[in-house]
Amino acid sequence: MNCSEFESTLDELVDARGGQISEEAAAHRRSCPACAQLWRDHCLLDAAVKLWRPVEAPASLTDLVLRSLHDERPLLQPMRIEMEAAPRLPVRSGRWVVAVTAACLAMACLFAVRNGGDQRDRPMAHAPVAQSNDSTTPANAAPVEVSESVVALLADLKAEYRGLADETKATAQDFVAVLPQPVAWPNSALPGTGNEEASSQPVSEIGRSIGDQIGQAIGFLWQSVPSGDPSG
Amino acid sequence: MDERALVERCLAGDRDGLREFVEQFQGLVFAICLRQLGQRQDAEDVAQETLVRAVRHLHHWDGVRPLKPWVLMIAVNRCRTHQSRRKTRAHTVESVVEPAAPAARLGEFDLAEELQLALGQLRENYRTCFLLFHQQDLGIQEVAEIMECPEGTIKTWLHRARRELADLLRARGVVTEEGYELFRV
Repeated sequence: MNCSEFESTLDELVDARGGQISEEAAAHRRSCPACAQLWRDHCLLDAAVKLWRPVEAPASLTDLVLRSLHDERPLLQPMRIEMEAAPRLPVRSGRWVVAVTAACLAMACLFAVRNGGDQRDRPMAHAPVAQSNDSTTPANAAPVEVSESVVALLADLKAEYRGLADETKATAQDFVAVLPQPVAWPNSALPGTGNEEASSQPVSEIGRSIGDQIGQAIGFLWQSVPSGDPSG
Repeated sequence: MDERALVERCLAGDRDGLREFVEQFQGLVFAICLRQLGQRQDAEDVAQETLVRAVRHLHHWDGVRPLKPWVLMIAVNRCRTHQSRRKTRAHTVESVVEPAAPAARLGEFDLAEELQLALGQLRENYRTCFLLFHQQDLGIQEVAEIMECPEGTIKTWLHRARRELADLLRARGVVTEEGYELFRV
């Protein structure tokens, strides 16, 4: 037996957790100082492992673990109850659905009208429809077919838009009317700044012009809404 | 009691089942934690953490396999985590090792104590391997499963752990008594 074989024998003894070595291995150990040292180390470790005192867990460990487990659950359960008991907010998406649907329909109609027939180059294909009673309508400008429901929808939209514009304009004018007259701009109207003329302009007039501008802007937007109704 | 039945009781929230589970494994878990970490207070903390985690994750246990290696795997991983945290605090196991008197004649108590001190100087993989095999009496295959390594690697680590431990014991003046050889011849 050589040293390598002796070492393998020791490993087998470790795997088997003990046992006897063969006579051949014992003879090699007696003749080889290095393997004799390996053998002594092996025996020393086995003896130390056997003398390892058994470790006992602290008596309080069980209670600590059970308390930790118990403390976790009450924290979770009330949270779940609170979440279940919380009142649900009312769903108010109905208006949005109607508004979005109307907007999508309007966009789809606009797209269809603009791309309909041979009128691709024309900026607004619905114009001939609006002017169909006009005798100056070119013969080649074929009217675009728009369904009655779409026409009715656009008419409603436009009527509502007109109402909104009128209401906004009236509100702006009312606001201007209630403003006090002798009011001047605070900073730019100081004497000696050269803005005395501007400061003498009543705020009500400025407000009225703002109201007119708002009305014009709303009217412009209103005009930009396409209409399938010949009445506009 | 059958392990599977015990686990089912624990999963059902049975308090007696939980107590039984903890009492069954606390000794093993605390022993491996104490040998791994070398400090009693740390071992108590990590053992508690291990058992809580084991109960919490019992539904992940594969009922085909034995429960003991699964619990020990959690303990080993918790010890690793704790050691890595402790390294960041520059407080290693080696710091608790005190020099022994050279060529001291050792009694049984001292030899076991010296082995524990030498274990603290081993690489973490070698120490875990040695502890699982010699202290927990697990087979090579079970140690390989716990450490998620091939069996050949475990055999190599075990061999090296024993050799390094022997070197450390010799370096610390732990002399071999002639009587030890009588066990084998």
